[in-house]
Amino acid sequence: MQSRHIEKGLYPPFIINALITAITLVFLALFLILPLVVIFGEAFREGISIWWGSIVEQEALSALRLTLLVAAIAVPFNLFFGIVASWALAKFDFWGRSFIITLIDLPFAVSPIVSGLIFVLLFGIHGWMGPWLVKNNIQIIFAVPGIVLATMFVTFPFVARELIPLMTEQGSEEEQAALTLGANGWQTFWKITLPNIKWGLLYGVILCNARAMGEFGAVSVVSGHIRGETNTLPLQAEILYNEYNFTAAFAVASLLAFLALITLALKFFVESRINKLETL
Amino acid sequence: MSISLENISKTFNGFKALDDINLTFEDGKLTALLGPSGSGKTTLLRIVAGLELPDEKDNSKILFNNEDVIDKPVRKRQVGFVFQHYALFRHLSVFDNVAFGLEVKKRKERLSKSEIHEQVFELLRIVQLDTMADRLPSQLSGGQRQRVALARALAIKPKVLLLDEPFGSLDAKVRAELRRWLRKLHDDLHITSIFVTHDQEEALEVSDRIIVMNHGRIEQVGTPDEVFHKPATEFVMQFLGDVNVFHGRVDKNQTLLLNNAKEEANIKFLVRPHDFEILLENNNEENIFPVKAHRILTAGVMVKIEFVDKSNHLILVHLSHDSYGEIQLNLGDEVFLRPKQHHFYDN
Ligand SMILES: Nc1ncnc2c1ncn2[C@@H]1O[C@H](COP(=O)(O)OP(=O)(O)O)[C@@H](O)[C@H]1O
Ligand SMILES: [Mg+2]
Repeated sequence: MQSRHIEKGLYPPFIINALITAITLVFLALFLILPLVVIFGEAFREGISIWWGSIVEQEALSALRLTLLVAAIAVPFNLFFGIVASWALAKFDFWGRSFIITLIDLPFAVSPIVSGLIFVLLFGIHGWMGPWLVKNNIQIIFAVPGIVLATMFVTFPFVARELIPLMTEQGSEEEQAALTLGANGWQTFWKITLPNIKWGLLYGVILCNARAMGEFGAVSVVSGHIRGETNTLPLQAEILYNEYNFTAAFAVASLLAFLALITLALKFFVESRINKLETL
Repeated sequence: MSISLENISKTFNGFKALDDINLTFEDGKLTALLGPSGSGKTTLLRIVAGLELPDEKDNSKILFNNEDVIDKPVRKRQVGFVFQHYALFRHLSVFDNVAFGLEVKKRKERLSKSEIHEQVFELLRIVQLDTMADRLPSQLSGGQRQRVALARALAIKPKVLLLDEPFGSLDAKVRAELRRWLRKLHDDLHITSIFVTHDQEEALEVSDRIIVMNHGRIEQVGTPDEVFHKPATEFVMQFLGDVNVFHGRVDKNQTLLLNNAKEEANIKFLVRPHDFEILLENNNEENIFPVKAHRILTAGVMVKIEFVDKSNHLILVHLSHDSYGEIQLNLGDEVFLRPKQHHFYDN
């Protein structure tokens, strides 16, 4: 919309314009579209039935199941705590508030490998809580709980980062109005707060989910790579690749790529909703 | 319902926004809280509503008809609050905004769907918005939003209506219209109402009583006539309209000498622009000012004349067009000003 109003003189000359566009398109093709084509090309190179065979193979299925399980735990958890944290940070002013807002970004700031190591240090056999965990026969590292924890940690910022600016901008006057009209805290949350943030929230959840399914580094550290037990889809793809089982590796990778494409489609839809709301 | 406040103070990070307020708002009256920006009007209104707690809760009281409500949460106080920026629910239609207060009631107190529908439309008719029930707040003009906010607040049958700068962000014409409309509405409904404004004209025109505030304190409480004609403090006088300030002395014999020399002055002498008489010659009176016409503005309800005195002080005089026609004043003319009405305050 806006570009239409930009004065003619502000446009670069045609040649430069075309050049910039061409460079951008080549770059996009090379770094984004080509890999996608390669993944699907390699996955289906030996035909659909071989592809299908690699997918329904036991270890691959178990990896898919684990990936979905991890996302099914980590995403709702981060949805809930993301809302709680954003609400507290956006609607109240207290000492240390801006420090906490910065702290929320920590999982993005550190390398995923380090994130994984934090949990090994905490819960590994030689970690702080290791002896106690061993005594009580609880296994976290090299088991599903560790993978879930690491994923939660790495994906925590997505929802909160989306909501904090949104809620800060909206302020709390509508909530106060609801209270003066006799609503209790619960009604105010469900009828006023939540509807006002729903699209931003959905956007954050989509990104959170994409990362939860695709996380490699942190999960790799805590997983232990036990076949059929603690391998998620990204880990499974890597193992197959390292064993020169390229077709199977790309078949698994194509599943991840497929999830990514669905995520992109959803993200596109939600974004256009948000834009529409903003221009209203 | 009458409202009494006793010993209400409020401090924000060491800053005293309200300083020991004691007040009574009379039953069924429309009271204006008038004061400059930052004088604590909104804070006082929010404390009455329960959106803010006063300091030292133990000492202070907020009485609704003699019942202390200081421990009652907002949602149980049954106050209609109209926010300065409306605070309409942006995702709900006009109808749902107004119905909100009726729909969040406990099941046994809640009306049926059709009764709610009926009541909402009755309110929408009162605020003249029954044709816009399906619109979203973003599809309304400022004045219409304001009226939705009012209808929404009235829906809960409030015992008291609190309005924070209800016309603050509207343009002049809509403002004047809504102002009269609000007065009429109040005359029909007789709900005890408090409205905040920084516009003295608005307060004078609409309210039964005016409370003038400054720096978190009350300067004067009175009818519009009282605060306008008998301002209790220099601040009130200054705030309620243009004034000319002169410095003078009251000597031992209680005679007043105006000399405009600040050093020896022990009083301030305040005269409103419309309280001067223009004399063409000095008939040897005390306390009249020889001045020269410096600027004359005739476009307006009143003729506005700026005079300058010997020491180049500006003196503002308002005159009716008729009186102006009679004296035939021209720029540069030298005349004499005699205050007809004045107020003086210790320096
Ligand atoms: N929540 C708050 N935190 C800090 N200071 C506040 C807060 N609310 C009001 N104040 C301060 O208290 C004073 C009075 O504010 P307010 O009641 O809004 O004045 P008014 O409505 O008369 O303009 C102002 O100086 C304002 O900055
Ligand atoms: Mg205010």
